[in-house]
Amino acid sequence: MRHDSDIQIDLQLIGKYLAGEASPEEAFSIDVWRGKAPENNELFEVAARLWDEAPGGEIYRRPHQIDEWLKLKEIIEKERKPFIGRRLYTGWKVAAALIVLMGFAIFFYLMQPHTASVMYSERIDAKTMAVKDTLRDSSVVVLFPQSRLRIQDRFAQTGRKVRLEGQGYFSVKRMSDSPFTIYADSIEIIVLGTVFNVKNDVKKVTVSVESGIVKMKKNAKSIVVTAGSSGVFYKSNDRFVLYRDSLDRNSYGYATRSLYFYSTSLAHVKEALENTYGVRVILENKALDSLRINTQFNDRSLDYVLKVISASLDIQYRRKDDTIYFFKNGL
Amino acid sequence: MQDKYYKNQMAEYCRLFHAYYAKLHRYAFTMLKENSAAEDIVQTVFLKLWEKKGQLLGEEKVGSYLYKSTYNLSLNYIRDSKTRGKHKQDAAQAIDPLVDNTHDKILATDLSLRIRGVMEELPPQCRLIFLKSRVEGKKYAEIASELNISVKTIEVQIGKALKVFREKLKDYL
Repeated sequence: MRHDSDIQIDLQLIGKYLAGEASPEEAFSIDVWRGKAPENNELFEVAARLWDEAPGGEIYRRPHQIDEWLKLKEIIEKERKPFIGRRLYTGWKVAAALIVLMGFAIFFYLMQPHTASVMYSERIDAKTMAVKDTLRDSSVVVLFPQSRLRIQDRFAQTGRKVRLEGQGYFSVKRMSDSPFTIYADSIEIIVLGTVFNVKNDVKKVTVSVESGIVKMKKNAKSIVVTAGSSGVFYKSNDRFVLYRDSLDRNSYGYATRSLYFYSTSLAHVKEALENTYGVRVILENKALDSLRINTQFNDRSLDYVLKVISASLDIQYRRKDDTIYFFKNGL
Repeated sequence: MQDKYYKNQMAEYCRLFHAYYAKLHRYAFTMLKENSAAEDIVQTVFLKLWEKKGQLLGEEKVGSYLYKSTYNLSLNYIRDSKTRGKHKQDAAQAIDPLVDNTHDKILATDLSLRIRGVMEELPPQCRLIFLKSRVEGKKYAEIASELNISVKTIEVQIGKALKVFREKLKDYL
């Protein structure tokens, strides 16, 4: 493909470009034409401004080119794979040096989390609400609010790698020849096919496994977390700890919409409701903290859950926007 | 020696980045309608370029490669987003821009308000096509099918709309 100097540049073609309909040849030709004369560029800028200011979707925002360059440079320098293909080196010294270098490269590759070598081309963002999405390999992910998942370029073709910021609940499609890897902070979470929750917060990364087996790994250290257990990586001392049979299913209620209360105190119910429904819960009387409840909810609305809890405990509640107040008359 | 070679490569790569980054970002944005997605795509394009750099010769070939790569990755992104049912979610929820809305008016710039005014003066078919393309974010092929007209007609009408805006709003540009 070349840019074509015969392509006539006018408002019709510029309009086509702004509407997202230009072929690569046309886009290249427009940009070359813009560089040829100030009046060309001026015509383009006027049309682009009119297009941007017209009502419609997201407005174009010129990126911070220097910031983007620094980000890109950092990725490349971490990899540091210079291209030597076009130069021919001869002699045993060079060959020996290359073998030594390759040995080091393989060693460091195996020892490091491979985040630097992964290219991400897509991402899923959960802003104020949890977001559920299906990946190209049919794995399902639910992201907790304020979380982000970056997805490897050519996901499911060259591998299954993602990077998580925040919290996500994963139901991974089993593909025995292709492990699914989540990078969270400096650790890798490797699975074949399973259901689990990953929470990456400031102090630790917690993996809660509902079914199957998950491996948590950093350099040479690793632990295997089985169904019903949780694995925690503490960032301050770089240490993994396995908590057997400690699974708190309410911790990922935001994804399953299921809540399990077995002699659970209202103080803990409060946390579970906040986590599941993204609301704020206030217990107006201190005496309410220790009230305990036995019940289970599966995919119920918040209003239904509130009614059942208040009726079971003989307390009252009121709701104002996203804040729930529990109280008891007479206390 | 390798360090020097690496530095030379990085210097050339840096030059290409600064020559093309903004243009490719704008091009990706026209297709994706999302600034952050365009940033991700163009970053991927340049990472791929770094991988392929030894195989590309000459400015013309590099330019062609970059535009084509941006185009292909953007199309893949749109296809995958559609699979996930997310793409155009915002567009689908877009409000009718011509409905009087005080909040919108407060946020809108003077030029933006005047564009809305001129939109009302466009010939009916021209206005409808512009709305479907710019406001609803529809593809030319989609609009052509809906209105039973040719894609070429749409190209002409969008060009015409821009020409009218430019003429009528020249004092505000």
